[in-house]
Amino acid sequence: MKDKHRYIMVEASVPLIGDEKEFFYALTKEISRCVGEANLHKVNPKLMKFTDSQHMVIKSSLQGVHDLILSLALIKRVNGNEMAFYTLKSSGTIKALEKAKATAKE
Amino acid sequence: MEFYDIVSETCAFEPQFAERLGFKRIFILGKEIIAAGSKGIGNREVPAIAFGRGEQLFQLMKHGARAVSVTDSYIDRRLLASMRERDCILCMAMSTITASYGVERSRNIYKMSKLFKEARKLGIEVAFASMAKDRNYMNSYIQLVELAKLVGADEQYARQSLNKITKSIGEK
Repeated sequence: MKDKHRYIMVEASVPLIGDEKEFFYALTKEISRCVGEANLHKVNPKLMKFTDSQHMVIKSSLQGVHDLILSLALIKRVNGNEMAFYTLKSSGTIKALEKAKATAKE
Repeated sequence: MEFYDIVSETCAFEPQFAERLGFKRIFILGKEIIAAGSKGIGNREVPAIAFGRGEQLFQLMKHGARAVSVTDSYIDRRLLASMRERDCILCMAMSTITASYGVERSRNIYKMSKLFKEARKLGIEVAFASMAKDRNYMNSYIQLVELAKLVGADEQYARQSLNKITKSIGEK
């Protein structure tokens, strides 16, 4: 059976410069701290893309999306750098997220 | 549904940012909402939100505070009973959770969920607001709903609370 998933548009409080993969690894470690190692597989976070230096799309399983949103609210530091993450929107497709972001910019 | 939030006076943000976070408006304590705390009621205006604990909150309620935020999340049954009599709202500052870390955060979640449960049992309305001291502790409305669920509210109650928060507290 195919797993259902959700995409969320996340805004970082500061522009993210450097290796995106390494940054996301550090972010996953923080998510794991919030939801617990045993629950991390339920969330199954995956970085889909950076739309610009401050915005990214993260994929999560449908059942773990609430845990992901909550942990993003609790994370205030990544790799020793103070930063915050704001969940702007959640959707079933990346296209819908990007459309919403474009509408917000207008 | 439209959502509102309340932040501290020290928190700086632009209106577009509030819009991106999904709020129709974010109110600033001290500027748009009259608050009273440990220093008492300086300008003798009726406070919308009273911050403090114990006896101090009783005094502020007597001055007509419409909402109360218990800073230490201590369950004072006498205070809760008095809040119910006066139709006073319990305002929960979610930055207590986001601004703490580790064991302290865990303890805060426990204390706040106990207070929420006790207040709802007595029929007191509970409002959730970020009360962020700076931009890093602000949350989008989606995140505030999840934080409210963390302390025991269901999704519908959390959304309604974010919708009517200013109506119940009384915007200026």
